[in-house]
Amino acid sequence: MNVAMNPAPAAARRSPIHDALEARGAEWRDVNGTTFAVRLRDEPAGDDIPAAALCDLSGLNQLGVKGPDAANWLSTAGVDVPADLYESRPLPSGGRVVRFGAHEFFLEDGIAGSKASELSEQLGFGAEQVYRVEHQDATFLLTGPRSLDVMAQTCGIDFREANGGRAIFTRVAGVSCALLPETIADQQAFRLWLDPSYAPYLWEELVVIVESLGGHVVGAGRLFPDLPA
Amino acid sequence: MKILNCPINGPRPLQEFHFGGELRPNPLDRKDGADADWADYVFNRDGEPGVKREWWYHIPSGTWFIAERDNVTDQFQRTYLYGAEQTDG
Repeated sequence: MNVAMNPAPAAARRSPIHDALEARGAEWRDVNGTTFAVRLRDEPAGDDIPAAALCDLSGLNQLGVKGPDAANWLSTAGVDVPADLYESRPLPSGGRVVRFGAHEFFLEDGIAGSKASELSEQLGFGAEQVYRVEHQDATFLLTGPRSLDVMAQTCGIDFREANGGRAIFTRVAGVSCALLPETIADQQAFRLWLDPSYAPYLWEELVVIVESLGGHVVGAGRLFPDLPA
Repeated sequence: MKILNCPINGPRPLQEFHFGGELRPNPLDRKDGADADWADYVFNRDGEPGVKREWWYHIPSGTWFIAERDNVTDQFQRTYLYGAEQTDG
């Protein structure tokens, strides 16, 4: 018996907290093969960053590489390779690369860049002495004047003295995270990478704390007005 | 808050760590690894008071290392990566 089948839809990454954002009336936009919540129903009007802003960026493309020739392979591909453990450097078209070990690197595209996804296609199943490390991490971005207070309530590290641009492996509300302090629109910001299976729990916890401090959950469009249409 | 110094990640609260047991030589490393050695390795532990060398694991980063801990005072004396005890403090 012949059964007519429709072709499967193109694979698209979906945030592990997609449903939580959907419940907040997310306005979705497809960017680089994934969907971002660009605006939420209850966001305050205007473009200002609230006291604390929590944003889901789990749609960003990621790539992990390791192996004795990984640094050389990245360098040949035009990536500014971080020299020290946990150091991060910007990728050519936006995004960042972080050194996770002596021979291990993690790359994540920026909101508009595609270097990590290009390198992922180029690497395929791996090259000689360069091996793929699968990453499907959730990415949360916390920013705003009171973001430090959120971290003080959830983490044992004193981030007032944290060195921007260096990744920190720690626990946030009991969840193991890689955390990158950075600056967005002149505001202190923290990028959190974590196992997606813990993402709904951590998101829920952070939302409660952010909102108790007068902050809001925001869409990516508020923090990144240049989000591609 | 009790703090433990990870040789890779620095001082962190103890909640970020997992205890991995005392560092003990594997019977396979002994030339005469007989049944008695294995029985000792599997069933016996050294509970004598003093400074013990122990495995500890930093959970967020996946780092195993050695900590020297006085099991009388429960004070950590120093930590280092396995095999690096001559150089790290």
